[in-house]
Amino acid sequence: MPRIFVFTLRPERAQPTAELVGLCARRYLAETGRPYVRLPAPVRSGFSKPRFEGAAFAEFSLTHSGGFFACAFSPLPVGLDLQQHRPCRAEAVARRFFHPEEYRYVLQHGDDGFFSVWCAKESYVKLTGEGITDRFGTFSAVSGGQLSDSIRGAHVHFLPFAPGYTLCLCCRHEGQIIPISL
Amino acid sequence: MLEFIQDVIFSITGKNNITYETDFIKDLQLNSLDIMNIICAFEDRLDTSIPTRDVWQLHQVKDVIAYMQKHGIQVP
Repeated sequence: MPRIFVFTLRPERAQPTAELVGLCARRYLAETGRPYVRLPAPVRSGFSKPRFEGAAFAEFSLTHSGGFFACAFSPLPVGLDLQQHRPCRAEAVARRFFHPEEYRYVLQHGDDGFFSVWCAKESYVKLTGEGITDRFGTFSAVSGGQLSDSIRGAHVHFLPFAPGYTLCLCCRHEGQIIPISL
Repeated sequence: MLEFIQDVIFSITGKNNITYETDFIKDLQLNSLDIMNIICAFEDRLDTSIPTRDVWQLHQVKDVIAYMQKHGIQVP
């Protein structure tokens, strides 16, 4: 069973994302017994999913919110999303971008429900790499009126985190999830 | 148009000092949820609909202004 490392940290100063990913990458290499190699800076284009070019063994997904940074590393693709609960146009965003079943769930469960659905969907589209498109509302993180533990066959895991935040991991494979606070 | 965009972004994110060259990710550190909130505010205030596929092509404030001009979107 592959291990999925979820690194979280709260940088004390503004650090470039590439530095933070590099920090997590070094720890991932150490945890997995790989020799240290200097990974290239992750490459991304606009809002697309960042990747290490030429480092196929290290799939990763990064997220940041409210001063926290989190990054998941795994041999296989993963999607990770962290979101601080803060005032937002939850009803409007849910009506505009969510599946109708998700919208009903948000109406019933308020902001906590909104952030759960958001993080589940965001982690899923990070896993697939498609990002938020016009298809964002065509799949649902809610089934039978409850948050689902899967989206289109991908596993959805809500991970414990600081109060006022939601952290969600999405992966196609079952794995041992190892949270590490840096 | 710049003032309108500044007002919308400030109302959602509390961020100011927005210029034509401001990049939503690099300069404002906005995440996807921020962007979705801004889109909803834009659509509400302009009574228009912006396809999601178009949103990710708009990296800087000047891109938004060019998009609005191209699509005949008027600021009230």
